Formats: sequence, C-alpha cells, structure tokens
Amino acid sequence: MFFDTPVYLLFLAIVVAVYWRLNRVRQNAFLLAASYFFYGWWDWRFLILILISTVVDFFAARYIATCPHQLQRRGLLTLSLVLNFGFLGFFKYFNFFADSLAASLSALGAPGFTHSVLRIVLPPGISFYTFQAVAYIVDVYRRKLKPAESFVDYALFISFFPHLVAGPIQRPSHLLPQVQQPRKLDGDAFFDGLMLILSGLFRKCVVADSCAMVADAAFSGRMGTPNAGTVLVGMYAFAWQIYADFSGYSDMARGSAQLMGFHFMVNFRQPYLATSLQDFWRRWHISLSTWLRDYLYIPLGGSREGEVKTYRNLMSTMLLGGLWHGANWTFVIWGGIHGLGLSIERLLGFERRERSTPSSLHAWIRRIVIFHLAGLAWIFFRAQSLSAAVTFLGGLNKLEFGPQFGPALAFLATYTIPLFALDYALEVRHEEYPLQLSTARVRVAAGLAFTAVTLAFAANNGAAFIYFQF
Amino acid sequence: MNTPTLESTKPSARAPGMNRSSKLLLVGVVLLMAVLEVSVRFGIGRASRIQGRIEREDRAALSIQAGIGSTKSVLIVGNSLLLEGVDFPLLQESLAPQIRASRFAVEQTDYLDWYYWLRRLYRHGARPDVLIVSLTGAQMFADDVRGEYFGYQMMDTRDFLRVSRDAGLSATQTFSLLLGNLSAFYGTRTETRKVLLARLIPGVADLVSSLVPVGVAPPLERELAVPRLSGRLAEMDRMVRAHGGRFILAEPASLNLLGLKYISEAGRKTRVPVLEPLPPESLSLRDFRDGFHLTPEAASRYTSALVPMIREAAGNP
Repeated sequence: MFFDTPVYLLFLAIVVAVYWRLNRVRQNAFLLAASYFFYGWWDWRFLILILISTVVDFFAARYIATCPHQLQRRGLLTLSLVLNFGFLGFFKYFNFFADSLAASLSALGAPGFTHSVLRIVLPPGISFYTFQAVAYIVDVYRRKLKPAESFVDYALFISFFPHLVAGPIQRPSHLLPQVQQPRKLDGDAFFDGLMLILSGLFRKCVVADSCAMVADAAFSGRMGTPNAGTVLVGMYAFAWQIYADFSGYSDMARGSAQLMGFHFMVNFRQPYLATSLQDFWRRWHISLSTWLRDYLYIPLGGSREGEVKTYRNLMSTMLLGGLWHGANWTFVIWGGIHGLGLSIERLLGFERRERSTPSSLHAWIRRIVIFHLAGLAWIFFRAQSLSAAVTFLGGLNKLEFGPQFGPALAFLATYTIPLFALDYALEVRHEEYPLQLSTARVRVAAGLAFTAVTLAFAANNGAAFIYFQF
Repeated sequence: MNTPTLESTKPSARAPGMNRSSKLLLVGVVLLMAVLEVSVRFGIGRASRIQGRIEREDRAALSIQAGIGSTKSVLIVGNSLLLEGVDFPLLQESLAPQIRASRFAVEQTDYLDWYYWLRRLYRHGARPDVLIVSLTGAQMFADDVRGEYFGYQMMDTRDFLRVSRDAGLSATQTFSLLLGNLSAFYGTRTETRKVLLARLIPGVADLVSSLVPVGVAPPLERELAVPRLSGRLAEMDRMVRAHGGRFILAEPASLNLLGLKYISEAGRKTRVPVLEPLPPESLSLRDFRDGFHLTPEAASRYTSALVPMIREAAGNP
C-alpha cells in the first residue's frame, strides 16, 4: 500500500477516524492490527518475519535488562543482533554475495561455475525495521532505555505503519515513550499533519514522478547513447527525483503519524542547500545518518582514536551505509564517494574554515559544487550496474547535446525550480512545510494550492517510492 | 523570528479536537475534488481532441443496432494500429451504402480491454451485425488493461473483480481500477494532465511521449501462444454470436511474422475468420512511420485490401 495511492488515503482516514474513538490501550492494539494489515497488504507471509523478529527482541530485551551477568547479557545481545542482521543479510544480500562469489570464482579460473539459483524476495522495509530493532536492543543493553513492558507497545513501536517500510528510522527513546503515553488530539498538530501529507504528495506525485520520466529515459538509453547532455539531464533529473521522492515520502509518514498524535523526527532539511558534504549529511536522510553515527561510527571509535582511525571509521561507515541501500556494488561506490569526500573535507579542514554567510556568493558557489558532487555520486546510485554507471559517465567525453536536451531541461526546470524555491523559503523561514508560520487562512490556502496542483499535475506513472525497495 | 522546533508540533495541553483550519482544509479538499470531477466529466471531451473522439465513437458504438434488410452494420474496434492503419473515411465510403461501418479506437489497448468493453457493449443493448477486432497476435496474447483509464472508459462496474483476476492486478491496482470506473477525474487524470501541460508548456507532449517507454512484447512461443489465442478467439466469438453477430479478427499490418502465424493458426482451429489484408511479404520498413504504425499511403493500401474482405464476411453471416 503506497502512500500516494487512493487506497492508502482511504485506509488512513478510516484508521484515524476509528483511532480517536478508542482509549490508549485499545488505540495501540488497533494501530498494531492496522499496521499488520498495512504490511500484509503486500503479502501476508512477510508478517511472519517481522513477528519472529519482534517476539525475539521483545523477550531478549527484557532479559538483558534484568540479567545480572554481563556474559549472558552480551550473549543475548549477540543472539538478537545475529537474528536481526541474519534476516537482513539473507533476504537482502544473499543474491548479491552469491553472484559476487560466482563472478570471483570465474575470474579465478573456475569457468562454468554456477551457484544455486535460489532467488530471494526482499520483504519491504526490512532494512528500516531491522535498524529500529537493533537500536532498541542496543539501547537496552547500554542501559539507556528501559525495555517495553507491553508486547503490544513494543510491536507497535516496530511496526507502526507510517514508518514501517521506509522510515524515518525512529529512535526508541523518541517513539517508545509516545507509544506508552496517552495521546491527545491536538488541533495544530493535526493541521500540521494534514499539511505535511499534502506537501509530501506534491513532492512525490508532481515533482518526483515527473523527474522520474526524464531520469528513466536518460539512464535507459531512450535519449540516445550517453553524451554530455544526456549525463547532465539524467543526473539533474535523478538528483531531484530521489530527493522529492524520499522527502515527500518522509513528509507523508510524519504527517500520517501526526494525525494520530505521534511525532516523528525530521528526515530532510533542504539537503541541496548544503555548503559541504558534512552539511549535506546533516540534512539528508537524517534518521539514517544519525543512526549510522550513533550505532556504527561512534562504536568504531569515531574521531577519538587519532586521525588515521577516524578516516577508517568514516570510510567504513559510509561504505556500509551505501551497502545498506541495496545489494549492489553501485551503492558501495556511492557510499565510497561520499566517504572519500567527507575524508577530504576533514583533511582540508573544510568545515572549520567555513565562515561565509548563507546568502553570500561564496556560499552559493559551494552549494552548486556540493550539489554537483552529490549528483555525480547519484549516477552510481541510479545505475543498474557498475559497468552501466561507467558507460553512462563516459558520455561526458562526448561534448554533444542532443535535440532533446533543451526541452528536457526546460521540463525539469518546470518542476524543480518551484521545489527549490520552496526549499529556500523553508530554509530562510525555518519552517517544516511551506507557510507554516503564516496565518491560518494563508496556511489553508497553501494546503488547497498543493492539493490543486497535485490533482492536476500528478504524473500518474505509477512509479513506486525509491526507498521502498531498500 | 519564532523558530519552530521539533517540539512545536508535539501534542499540546490545549483543548483536544480538530481545529477550524483542519476542518476548512478538509472541506476545501473535498470541494476541490468535487469541482474537478464535475469539470472533467463534462469538459474533458471538449478540452482534449483525443478524448473527444473516444467519447463520440464510444457513444456511437453503444447505440449500433443490427442493419435493416440488406444493410449491415459493421463495428471495427482496436488501438492506435487501427487509428493509423485504416483510412476510415475511405473504408466508410467504400462500404456504403450496403454496409454502415463504425469505428471505436482507444490507444494502448489489448485483448482484455476489448473483451470487457464488448461485454459492456452488449449489456448496453448494442447489436452490430459484424464485429471486427483489429489487434495483433501479441496484443491478443497480452494480459494487460489500460489501468484506470480502461476502468473509466471501457469497463462495466460489475466486471471489476473479474478484470482484476484476469489481468492479475494487485489489491491496490484493483482499488484504483474501481476508482477510475467511478470517477471521471481519476480515470482520465493522465489525459487531463496532458491537456493542462500542453497549454502551459507548448511542445511538452512530444517530449513526454518520447520519454515514455514503449513496451516491446517478448517473442511468442507456439506452445503457449496458440492455445491461449485459440481460447480467446473462441471466447470472443461465443460472445458475439450469442448476440446475433459475426466475429472477425483483422490482423493489423505488421512485420511480426510469428504473431501473425500463431493467430492465423488459432483462427483456423476455432473457425474464426482472421483477415490479413497486407501480408508481411508485401510490406517493408518504409511502410511504417515508426516501426509499428503505417504511413498514410500504406494505410490506404491496407484499407483498399480490407474492403472486399469485409464485404465478403458481412455478406456471409
């Protein structure tokens, strides 16, 4: 059930209407049932996996919290991590490692080697709920969090449908207390939730899906063999597609949760206004970047153990962050480019030397450079394979601009300039959605404008959310 | 400036309940959708040349009755291959006055679209003497429907579950299909967007159509193709015969030898006439505008060859 489909909006309306008529205990049980219905809508068999993981982690956390023996606590933590990452590894990376092994053996002179053709179906959202479960069990182990008393509360924390399949990855310390406490129907928060959903729909259905048409055409070769024009158009189109797609999804997730009195962390803060790669990662997929920082980079030693280890930790974190996105070397390279960029910035003291005001020419030049660096890395993220990415980038050697270059750029500009303007306004006005700080009348008008534009210009190409596959 | 924080949108201690802004916004959204629905239902046919033609042809087809005396009514249906492959004014003129020919063409449609549209046609009481379906072997083999647009323009509401099963739709797609059937705006939203975009950005239609992927059907395998094509021809034939008509398949001009071979074989098995006005040997790439659609000159040749075949079929019910 994708957020941008009528069936989801109907589902959400029914859930919200019923939810506010129940008391807290029944609210949680009802939301859990609704969340399982939402997840089972794809395939009910996926529920088995999430249920096993939920039951094991719930009891493991309770035992970890009460067990006085460190060895046993560590053993249970290991068991839980092995189970969670085992599921993730098997369902997400089996094909990848099997293919890579086969390719390596062939390269080493084992021609004709064929591996088992066990093709694994990836359950939606497994990367997201696994990270959330891991954060919970680790926080309980570190005694930063009390384990949930109620199974329903914990299961809802893991499976709450607005974040279940593509985040934002919720921190246990942020979401679990909200699950455990009574919620009130707050008028302003409810309105903000509606506005987040409407602005999210605009981002996804109007901007992302329209950019997707151009990006798909450029990367699939329908715009001809790659040349400088195709590479630029494809890069711009995909950069805006993935941003509008995922930020739109995140807005809708946050808005949906807010209609039920929950608050989710902000996942995007105008990343294409970043003036450095470090700044970019403070603004892009914040729930993942902070998770990687707290549960990977810092446990590896962070920047506490000397410069060399800091660079190693940075690179490891970004490479694994890349691999988290998908079982393909293209994602690893994407993570590697960002890791390398962050390391170079650190080496040059880029952040410390940043003294320009946000509106200065210097800041704008840096923004343009960072946007293009991120864009180049997106080419690896988008390409089907490493060789496809290299072939596509090879188009830069041909300084040609086909007849479709101009119209395609104009088409993209029609969608991306308004989004860029909206982002700039959000940045300047410190808002979470456009005109949030304006009068009620203006906000209602803005909501209706979003609705009208979305209804009229939604691309309707049935493009699924990019991050649902992760 | 009062900077909103994460806490700014957390539940507050104020009196609980939906505020006036939320109610206004929700009412506004519903009103907006209602206005769009009414505007599209009554306006899209005027605003879009393509939709206008489809609506006119659909209305005309649904009112076709059997011919009186020696006059016969012939209805020919198909997709863009029919639209561009048959010079319809020439066909009408050549067949008149003994045969009254009507056409209903909807782009990007395949077997299932037309199977369910035929069910709707007969439920409406239309009774053409001869029904000609103009689809290639690959299109007769395909299991797709044209999404919500099919739901709006071609499907009878009572059939939506059957369509879902036959086309292998997911639950979400089935819901969208039903919504497309019930809402003119939802069903025709792609057309609506095209009209709006074309007015806002001149020339965008050409760009968008060049960006949209063209589905290339995989080559048919005889073991799968012939039984399925035979079953489908027989099913359509039964339906048309049950309503007093004669069913014919007219193969559009195509360079796909396999598709033609298998549909002809299926036609022989089921005794459904499969017309082949221009055999592939008589065609070259130059006869096609884009590899699929005939040039106007080739369309005239195709039409001239089709006329006597229709005459013969209509005269021998």
